Amino acid sequence: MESSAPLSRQRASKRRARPIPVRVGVDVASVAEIAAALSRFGDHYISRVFTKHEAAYCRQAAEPVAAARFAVRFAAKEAALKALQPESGGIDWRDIEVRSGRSGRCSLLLHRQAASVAARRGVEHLALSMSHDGGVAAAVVVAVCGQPLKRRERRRASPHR
Amino acid sequence: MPRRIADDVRLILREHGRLAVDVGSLADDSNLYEAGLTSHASVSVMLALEEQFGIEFPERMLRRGAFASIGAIRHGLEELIGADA
Repeated sequence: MESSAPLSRQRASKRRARPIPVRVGVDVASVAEIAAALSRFGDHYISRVFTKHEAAYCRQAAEPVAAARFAVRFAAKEAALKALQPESGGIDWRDIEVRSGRSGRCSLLLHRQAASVAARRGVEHLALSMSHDGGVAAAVVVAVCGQPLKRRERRRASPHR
Repeated sequence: MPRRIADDVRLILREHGRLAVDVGSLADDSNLYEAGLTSHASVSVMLALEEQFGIEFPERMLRRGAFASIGAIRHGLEELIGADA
């Protein structure tokens, strides 16, 4: 076991094992709150926050399932924002899109500013998990990142290191 | 006038902000997120402000800081509709 190995070997092992850099974001949303916004703001709310693809998918279901679908997507967008951690400026919610596959599995598709931030962060893959129960919608986003750009550039500049 | 904008902001926050404290107890620079404003409630506040003032918040203002305080919201509105609106 590693814990019984000499301390010097553990330190050497830690130096060799490079952790995969990931960023994680999580968010929860109240389905009732989203339903209230849908009722109060209607199309203004939907067109401002959700893409046409998302709206079409959510509207396939009758209430209250439709509100739950919108709620998990809103949570996914906020979770993605937390994972991406944009430096400054804003990101339109519609630039973070939840795509619903035929198998029922969902994934994230980034557009415009969100895609630019992800590229700057070195994000190579985004994993999404969503769920809703008991009136609460939740989403977790894991962003798997490559090497930071500066380090990559440094390596290109010094190939023998 | 700026005073009226701030009053409208407070009214909308009271109706849509779902804050944990009374809006009247907040100073213009009080942190709304610390007062209980959630990310989704900030969307409702934004939509209500857009309806009230007939504007649309541009992408550069779709960030947490733009809705972090009554003063920040007022500042953004003044920029969008003009300080003498």
